[in-house]
Amino acid sequence: MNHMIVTYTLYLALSLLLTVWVARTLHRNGRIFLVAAFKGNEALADSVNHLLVVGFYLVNFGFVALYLKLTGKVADGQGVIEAVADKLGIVLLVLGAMHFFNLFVFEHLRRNAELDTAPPPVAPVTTLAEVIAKATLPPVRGGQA
Amino acid sequence: MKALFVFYDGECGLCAKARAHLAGLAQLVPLVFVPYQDARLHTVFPALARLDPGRQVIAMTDTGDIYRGDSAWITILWALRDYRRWAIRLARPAWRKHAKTAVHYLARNRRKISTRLGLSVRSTFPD
Repeated sequence: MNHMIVTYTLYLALSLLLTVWVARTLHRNGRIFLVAAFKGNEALADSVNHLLVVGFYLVNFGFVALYLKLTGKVADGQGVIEAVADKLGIVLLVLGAMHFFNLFVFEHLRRNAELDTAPPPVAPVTTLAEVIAKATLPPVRGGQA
Repeated sequence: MKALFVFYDGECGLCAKARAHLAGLAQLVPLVFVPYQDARLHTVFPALARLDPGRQVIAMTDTGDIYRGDSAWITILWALRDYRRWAIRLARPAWRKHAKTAVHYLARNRRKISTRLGLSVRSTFPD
């Protein structure tokens, strides 16, 4: 019983710490992507950034809570470490997947914003000015017409 | 860029169909379609004939950049919201070759294809 409590406590503490760390990293480094995606609108970028991080916390804490319950019994110190490692491994994988998903969202938003202002991807064959220049007749030789 | 003028063949059913389809898509840059046979166009832009618009579609921006054939098509796609990504892809050398081949084939055979598909050939230009 005592070992079970230790396992749960360790699992919760480490999971929460890791989630907070990943969320803060996202919050800090995701901002620049969002500023680019919203064309320099920093207020909007900060707002979306904050909302994304809140969503990230909710999903991860929800997963950590649901995944808490141990299926087997933990009898000794070795069991505690094994059980915590087992649980934490899955939590880390879920955090990693969520993190990459967030990166994908950031990058998608940024690329879409870039697309709106992208110049035509091909060079013009000529310009109106050039056509007009070629269309002007050569000067008449030998005095006035 | 505020507008992209497209000088197309108004006497080709396939071209009219394409124009109607493109005009219905969401545009990032407004497309203005003008049949190159329109006499009014030649009064304001007599130099158009020098670009030989009967051979390849011509696209001109409001800033005076002129595109033709495959580059005109890519620029038209670029002007469309949902096809800008495709335009950028087609502009890459590997894709561009095939775009060029396809566009040239279509341009050369547009009248024939129109007849075969039973697309009516317009001879009057209400716009």
